[in-house]
Amino acid sequence: MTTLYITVGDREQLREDTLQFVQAAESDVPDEDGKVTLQFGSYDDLVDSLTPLRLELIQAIAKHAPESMREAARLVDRDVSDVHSDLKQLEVLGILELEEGGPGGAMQPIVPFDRIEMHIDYPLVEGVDDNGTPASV
Amino acid sequence: MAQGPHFQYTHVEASLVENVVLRPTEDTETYPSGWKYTLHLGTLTDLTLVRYDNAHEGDEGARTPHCWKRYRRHRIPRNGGVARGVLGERGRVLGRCRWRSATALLTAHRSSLRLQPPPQRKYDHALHHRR
Repeated sequence: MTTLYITVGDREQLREDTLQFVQAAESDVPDEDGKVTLQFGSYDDLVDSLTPLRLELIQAIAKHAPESMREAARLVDRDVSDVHSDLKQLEVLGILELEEGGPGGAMQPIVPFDRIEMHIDYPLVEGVDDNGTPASV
Repeated sequence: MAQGPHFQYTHVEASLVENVVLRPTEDTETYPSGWKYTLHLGTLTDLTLVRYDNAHEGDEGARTPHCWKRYRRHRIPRNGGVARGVLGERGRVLGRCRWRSATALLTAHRSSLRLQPPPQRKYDHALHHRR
C-alpha cells in the first residue's frame, strides 16, 4: 500500500527524516520501504492548498480513475477550467500525476497513492510538546 | 536493475515548493555515490527556480557546485541551506546544476520570494570561467 503522509511542521524535521533514511539504507538494514511526505510550513499553507473541493477531487480520481481532466470534472460536477487549475496545482504538490495517454491525447490524472495520512500538530499553548510537558521541564 | 526504496518529500511554504527525491541505486557507473537524487525548487504557480540532479555525477567537470555560488550571490539562505543540509551533509552535493535564466527569474520574483537584493558589484564572468 502506498501512503502519502501530509504534515504541518518545520523543514528541519524533514531533513532529519531524510538523513535517517540515508543512514538506514547505507547500513544495509533499511527499516522501511521508503516514504513520501508532503509537508506544509504552516496550517494556513495547508488549508490554502488542500481545500475540501480539492480533497473531493483527489478522492474521486483515486476511486474512479478518469481518463481525462474533463471526465474528472464530470465526476465532481464542477467546471472544467476550475478542475484543470486544481489538477495543475495538485500536480505541483506531488499529490497526483498528469500523464499523456488519455483519449484523443488528453492528459490523464492519476493519484499514485492508496491512502493519505494527515498528521497535524496544532498546539494551543506555545512551548508545550506533544506529551503536554512544558518545553522547559 | 533492482532499485531500493525511495524517499521523497515536498515542502510547501510561502508560495515556494521544494521537492527532494533520494533513491539508492546499484548503477554505480552512472552514480558513483550509489545514490540517485533530484532537487526541485519552484513556486506554487509551477515556476522552476532551481532544478538539479546527479545524473552526470561521474562526469569530469560536473563537479563544480555553481548553484551554491549563485545561491549565495542571491542570498536565499533558507532554501540554499536546506539543499546543502539534505544533500551536502552526505558529501554528494556536487551534482549537475541546471538553471533556467536564474538571474532573471530571481530578480523578477525577488519581492514575492522575500529575497534580498542582489549585490551591486558586477560579476566577473572571466574569473568564473578561469576557476
